[in-house]
Amino acid sequence: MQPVPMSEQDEQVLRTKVLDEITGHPPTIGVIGISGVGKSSTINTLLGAALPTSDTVACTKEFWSVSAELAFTHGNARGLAAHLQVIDAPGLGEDIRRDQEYLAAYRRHLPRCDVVLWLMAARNRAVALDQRYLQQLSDCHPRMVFGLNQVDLIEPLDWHPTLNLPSAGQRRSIDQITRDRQARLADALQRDIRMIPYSAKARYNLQGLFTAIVEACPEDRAWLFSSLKNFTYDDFLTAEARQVVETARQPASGVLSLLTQRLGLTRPSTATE
Amino acid sequence: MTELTADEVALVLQRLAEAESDARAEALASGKSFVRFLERAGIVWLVQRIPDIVANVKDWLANIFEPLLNSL
Repeated sequence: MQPVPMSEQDEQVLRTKVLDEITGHPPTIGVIGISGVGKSSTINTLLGAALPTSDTVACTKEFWSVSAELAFTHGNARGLAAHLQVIDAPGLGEDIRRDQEYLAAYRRHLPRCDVVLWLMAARNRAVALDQRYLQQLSDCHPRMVFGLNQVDLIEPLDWHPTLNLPSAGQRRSIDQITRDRQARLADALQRDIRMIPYSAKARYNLQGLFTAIVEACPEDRAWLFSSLKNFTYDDFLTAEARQVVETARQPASGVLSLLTQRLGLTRPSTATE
Repeated sequence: MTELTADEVALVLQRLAEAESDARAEALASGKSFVRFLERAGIVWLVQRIPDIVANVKDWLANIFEPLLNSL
């Protein structure tokens, strides 16, 4: 069914309401995690922000409440300017003398966030700091999403380069580590949580993380984040994998087509991107 | 091009299906969210006038955002 055209008057009313929303109350996300878990790179990858990142040093030592310049990514609005408020303390966990200052700043700023993204690094077994911070901040915000970044660096370190997917051994490790971190944070919080494994660098399971963020947002605000999405659900595919997928989805592709059908993986008729 | 085994192909298709499922859930949440926004903004009559807005929310938003963002 085609959308019913709007009258110019109706559209003007809607424009005014939407303009008031995106200028008066821009989408705001709190990002928490000890230094080096990839907070800025995750935001940059998901939403096309340009927060500074570094592999070697914490890029920002001070507490942030910044308006990142973004671009709307859908349809005719693609490339046009928008704003995202990011609340972040990039140095958290680096120096115990400053942690109390960071935590106090989080307590002040988190309540105005639409959603809070709590990130951990998959290779980091020590979760005591996360547990301690979580206990101190859990009452600041009801909508937290938990992400486990850098799963491409999990042992046995044999990420499949052609598929851009974890090896069988890594998949087992990812499942095990995810369950472990989930249980340990849930224990600290005294409630169930869902931990989402992903890799910002490999673009692995970005869609799973993004969907969790959108679903955790206040129901009347999630559309703002979805409109800023900066990736497609299938952009983790390598050129080789994409070619195989396209072949498999062609009706007359023999074994691959049969395999696709057997697995129930036929392409949906309605595009979601 | 590297030759992929049947297991590898199945793995790629499995991951893709999971990502597609997540993308559909996101699109649904986004569409519902926009309707909730319209309700909060007191223009719920737009929802009633455009009954399939949820399904078409992204294209619809794009058309709205372009003139809006040009005016920012």
